Amino acid sequence: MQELPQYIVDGLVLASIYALVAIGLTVVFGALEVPNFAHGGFVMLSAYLSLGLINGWHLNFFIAGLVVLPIAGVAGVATERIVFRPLRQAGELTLMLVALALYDLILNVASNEWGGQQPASVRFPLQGSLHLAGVVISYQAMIILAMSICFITGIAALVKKSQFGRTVRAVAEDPSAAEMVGVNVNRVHRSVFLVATALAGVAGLLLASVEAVTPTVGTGPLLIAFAIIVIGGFGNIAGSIVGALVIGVVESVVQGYIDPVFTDGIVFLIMVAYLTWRPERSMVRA
Amino acid sequence: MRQLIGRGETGERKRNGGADVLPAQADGDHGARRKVAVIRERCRAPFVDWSADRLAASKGPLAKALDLFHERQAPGTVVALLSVAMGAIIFGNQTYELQIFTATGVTAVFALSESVLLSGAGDLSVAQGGLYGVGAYAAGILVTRAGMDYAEAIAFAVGIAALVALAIGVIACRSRRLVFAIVTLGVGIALSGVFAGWSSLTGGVVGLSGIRTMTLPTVNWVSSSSSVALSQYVFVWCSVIVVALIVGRLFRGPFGHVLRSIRGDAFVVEALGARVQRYRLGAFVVAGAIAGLAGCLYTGTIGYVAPGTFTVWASLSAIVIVVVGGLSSPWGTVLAACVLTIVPNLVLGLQQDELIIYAGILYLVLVLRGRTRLGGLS
Repeated sequence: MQELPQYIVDGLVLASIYALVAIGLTVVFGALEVPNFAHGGFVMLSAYLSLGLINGWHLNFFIAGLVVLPIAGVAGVATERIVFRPLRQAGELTLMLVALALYDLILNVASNEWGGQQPASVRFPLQGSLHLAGVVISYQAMIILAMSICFITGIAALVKKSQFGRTVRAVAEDPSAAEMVGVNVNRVHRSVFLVATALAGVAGLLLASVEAVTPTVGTGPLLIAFAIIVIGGFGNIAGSIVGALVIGVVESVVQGYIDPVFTDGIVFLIMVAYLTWRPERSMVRA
Repeated sequence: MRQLIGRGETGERKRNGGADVLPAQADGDHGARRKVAVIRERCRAPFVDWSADRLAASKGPLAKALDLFHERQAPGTVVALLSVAMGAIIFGNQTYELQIFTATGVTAVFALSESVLLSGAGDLSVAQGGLYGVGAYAAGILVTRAGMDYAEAIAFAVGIAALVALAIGVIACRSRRLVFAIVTLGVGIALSGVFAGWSSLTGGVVGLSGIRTMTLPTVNWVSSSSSVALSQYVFVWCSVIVVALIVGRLFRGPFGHVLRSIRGDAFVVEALGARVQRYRLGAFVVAGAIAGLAGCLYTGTIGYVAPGTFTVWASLSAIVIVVVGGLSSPWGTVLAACVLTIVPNLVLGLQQDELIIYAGILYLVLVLRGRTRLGGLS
């Protein structure tokens, strides 16, 4: 049992990355009702971009972050403009299909381009770790946690407190009414995609530092993020954080004590158990 | 309402001697309560009497069995049979082309399983690829380990796939729309994990190889090199036609009407007294059985099963085929399967980038037609 605190700490690091992905997804779905399967593609593309910048161009980790963030955001805006805006009036099923197709497209292009590459992870600037009551916390883990907490608090404040957040919530509530009182709906859509995909960019950067980057590096976090937003409630940021903590820690403990093969299964078991327990929660917006 | 009542109403009216369920009377002096009673009566009709059908009501047992060849099924069936025969005559000696056509048939059966869900209750299942794999692995294991005939193996494997679908469906059908897609996505991934991970049974990442393929009474008038391919081609395409007929029949009957009404508005259907979850579960099990059959055909014609074939992306290609083929008829799905498999393979000579093409096609179809509504795909 003495490994348990260590597993929990490792789980928190995982959870913080999952939370970043899940919040991006849940904001887009909650505000715009777009089930953005392509989100995992942006995580993967950002991971590759970070890999190129840091390992290829020898940029500092944090400077690379400053480059990845806006590029990811702009990619999100472009996706909104090209793919999802023409489908504003389309039904949910159409949106799901298009988003899945988009993810498939990104995944296939990536595996054609970089599939043969040797998987590598990003070099992290600060090596070393802190020993605290038998638990090893690497500086990397601390920085990942700190960065995630900053970004998550930032986006929560943005949605809850700012004028921008109010317009987003107005559009989520009733787009046509929001438009009638002078909210620029197109701008809101654009900004939501900008913010959400920038979060995917951060998640990709952090993921690249803990995992070897492959074309499917975004798939696991995408699925887990979907499980998280089912548990946390669609469009609910606080719920996503709780869901991410539960799933991240459980995943890490299962990996430690049982077998890594079962992690995906366990995550979906948790989701299914939750759906069985409270099916009405997931019916609200889905 | 019209759609929900559908074809069932005629039979219902007939059986009751046209006396007490005619709409004209319902609008008369009894008022709203009477109307509700009529609606309830009619909505129950599909659940009580599954053959409540104008044609079926007036026919004997043989005619009922032949009723698979419904009036609107006939053109599709004839065209399909003629095309299959033409294919056999023209390409009877070319093994490679025959194999491509056979693979197309397998894809068509697989796509039909997705079409039961998409054009039925509008459920987007991403687990079909996994169920396809369940059928394929079950057939492969039964043939190699248990030494079964293909006839037995198909029966068992389809049953197994239907049971797995039942187990998944009991959980998945609790949710709808996006959550249903997510749950089935998880299941699809878990199933491909099982195929790759359960090495003692499935051969792990390498898969099962050297499975005996289907051998059927071969045709004498072709050279021996392509006779096996020809017989498999004929068998697979006969299966396609039978499955398409069954799906078409299912959808023209009361079951299909209720499913389509669920796609329209599940809450109204629920309020009218139909058990929405059960109908969706039924459709999911039927789809699972069809996917299992597709898997058996895959094993029986390829003779090799590996986990890479039965992924979530296989489900996506089936979804593309169904969407391109339109949701109104199974023959559209079969046609789309032919076009989307044969054109890249034989005409363009592509194999690797198939999925990219699929995604592109899906995007174009949906963006061009999806601005409003895609053939009822809302």
